Amino acid sequence: MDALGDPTRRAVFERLRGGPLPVGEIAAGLPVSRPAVSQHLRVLKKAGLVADRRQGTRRVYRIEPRGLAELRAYFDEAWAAALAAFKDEVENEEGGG
Amino acid sequence: METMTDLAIRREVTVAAPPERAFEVFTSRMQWWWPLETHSIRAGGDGAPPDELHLEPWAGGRFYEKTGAEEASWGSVLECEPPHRIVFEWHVNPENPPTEIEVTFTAGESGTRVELVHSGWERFAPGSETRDNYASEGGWTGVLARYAEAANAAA
Repeated sequence: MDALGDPTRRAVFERLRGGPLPVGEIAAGLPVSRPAVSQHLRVLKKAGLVADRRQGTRRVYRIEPRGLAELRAYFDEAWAAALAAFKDEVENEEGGG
Repeated sequence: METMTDLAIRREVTVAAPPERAFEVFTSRMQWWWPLETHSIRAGGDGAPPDELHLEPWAGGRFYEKTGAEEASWGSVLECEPPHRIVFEWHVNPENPPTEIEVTFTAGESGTRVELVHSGWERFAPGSETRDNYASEGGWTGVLARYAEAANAAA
């Protein structure tokens, strides 16, 4: 499952970081159509990354909250990637003068 | 604290450069390598990366992102001994307790060994008020957690 492998889908997911949003507001910040955003949300929901609930006539999406173990796992991955980028920066700097 | 050390995240990398260079790139040039487009306060809000990221290399220094005239704090520098060691807070979400990151730079034969320890997770005590905030809907932590899980599953 590579729910966040697609850049647009990742952008859709990132839009929910600030809090729950209806589809229209998620789509408003993105250069893709609303049906396309709905499609991405369906994939994210299927992956268990977002949840939705009906609010009047609108459907509101939010990130699925998780626990500390996952937070640590996240940072573990984040630091691995960040340190690799750090190494590149140090060594390019050295090599490129 | 000692009993909680197993919670710490530990990572290391060896870079082909002297400690002075490694330290300078890690601190003063952090914005050149940190993934701001996905890991920043601004990116979490409107999706755009901030203009700048600063980790001031002295004790009491500030750790913050900046866009135009607007600054957002990530924490502060607790200890700093250039070019050997820096300890700074990670407090991006004020609703969560701060965690701490210690980075040491050790000269070796093939360059500098950079060791990173991210600790302080025990402050997220189960059942505490902060723990509840931390688990709140739309919280930074919940987001990161899910993202991690998906990234791991994709790897």
